[in-house]
Amino acid sequence: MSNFNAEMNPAKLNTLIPFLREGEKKAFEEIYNDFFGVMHHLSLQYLHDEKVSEEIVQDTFMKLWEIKETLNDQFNIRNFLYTITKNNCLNYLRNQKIALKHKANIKYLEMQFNFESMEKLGSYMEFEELREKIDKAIAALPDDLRETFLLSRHEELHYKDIAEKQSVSIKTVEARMTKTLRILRLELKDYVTLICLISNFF
Amino acid sequence: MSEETFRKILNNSATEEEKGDFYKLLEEDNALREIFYQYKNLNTISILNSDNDIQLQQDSFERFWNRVKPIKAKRMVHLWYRYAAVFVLALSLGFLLQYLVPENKEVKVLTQHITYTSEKGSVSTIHLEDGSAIWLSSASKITLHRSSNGEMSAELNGEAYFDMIPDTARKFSVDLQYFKVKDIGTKFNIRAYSFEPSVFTTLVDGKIDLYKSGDKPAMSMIPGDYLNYDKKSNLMAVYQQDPSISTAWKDGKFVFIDKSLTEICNELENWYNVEIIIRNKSLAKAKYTSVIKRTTTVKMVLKMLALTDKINFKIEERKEVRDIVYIF
Repeated sequence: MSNFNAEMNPAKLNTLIPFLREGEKKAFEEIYNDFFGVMHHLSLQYLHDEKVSEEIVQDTFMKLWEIKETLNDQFNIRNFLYTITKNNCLNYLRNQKIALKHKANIKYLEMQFNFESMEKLGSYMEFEELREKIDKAIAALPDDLRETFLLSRHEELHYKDIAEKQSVSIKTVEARMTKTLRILRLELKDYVTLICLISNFF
Repeated sequence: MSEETFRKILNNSATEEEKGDFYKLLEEDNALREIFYQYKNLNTISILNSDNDIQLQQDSFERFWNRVKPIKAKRMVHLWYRYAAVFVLALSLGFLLQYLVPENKEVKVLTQHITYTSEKGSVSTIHLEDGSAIWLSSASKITLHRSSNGEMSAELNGEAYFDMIPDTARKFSVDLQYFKVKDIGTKFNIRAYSFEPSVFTTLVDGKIDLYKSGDKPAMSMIPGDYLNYDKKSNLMAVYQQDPSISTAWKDGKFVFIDKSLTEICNELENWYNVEIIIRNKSLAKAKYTSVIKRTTTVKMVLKMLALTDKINFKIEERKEVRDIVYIF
């Protein structure tokens, strides 16, 4: 949990480029392992489908494989992987939406709104800037607040479950969330419209 | 809708029924939709670094490698690629006109329980004894209550701008039915018209606290904060926005930043004594950005909007009842 923004730094990444050009398994494996988690997470959040998300990440690496001979030493791999993954997701959602077509369909609406959200993630620069800011803000939180906050983001965990996991009261969980969101709100105010959900957060 | 439902949607644990209700609400409600986009992305990014499934990762790489291995040796393909940048440019920029119109009506000094109203198309100013002042916008009503212990409260229906002199002896709050604003010597704007789905609060200077219930503040606003409280969903979103946009009305200006024609027409109806009907539904969602003097006639305002887009309008003058404007 404490490992924020854990991917290889750009300099180290770029030392791999000559090996990528040669199609070296080791180099591809290293980059694959480095980025798979983040890219898979990203896709999963908008597609809600484990298998499709895995395929999308694989397709991204297929693209990297296809262009490997053209890579120069300054090539920005992170930017490439992010942009292709995001575009793959958007294309997938767009095609699925067309297949569903009926507006009354819940799945259609879900895809529509997830598509629109993902579009707003913006360019790699914007994405990375926001990500850095969020990671820093989360890393700077006191340990107890951070743990509670990250648990609350996770699938299917309610405040009750978090309280049990951390053996504290629900009231404590609520208080921690309130405090955390106030801190994040101040930290991130220049970057996003931060949202306050009234009922339980405050 | 509760925060729990919202969270369930985000971590994909909502039932089909909850999803259906939520997405239908999202379809109708622009403000909520913006909240959803931002929260969705924030949620995504904040868990991007959590533990991942090593087994899945290894299997995935093996599958990838099996796909490329057979063609590895001989492949000599140079593919062109490019980054397909995704830009959402939904901005139809109008034009900017700036005029100053200092024409406010003076109203007498406050005593005990007084209700002030502003008619359509006028702005009133209320001067309090301590030098504080309240501007009351078109078609708005405010009731001020003052008790002997120095506490003062206000009930507002409509829009008002408060310029309160800091005074530790006097406590001042505005009751908005959905939440309460407590002032600590500040300049702020509140927009709470009953015909609008949201209540808006803008802090220009100083500090205000918002209370939902009880005596613990739900949140504090800082200067430049613009709060949008959605009445139906009970959600509030805080943006940073130039406060002069929210307060332009007291300087006699309409400021529309990326507003739909429907929103603009509501605003015009609230100022001019007319009823506006948009006949061509495809126009209703078109967005405009412009600054227009409030003293011009509704006809002039519509003419200006018509300059930027293919809008036609017709005004039907009526006796004793308000005129109707048709937009088509």
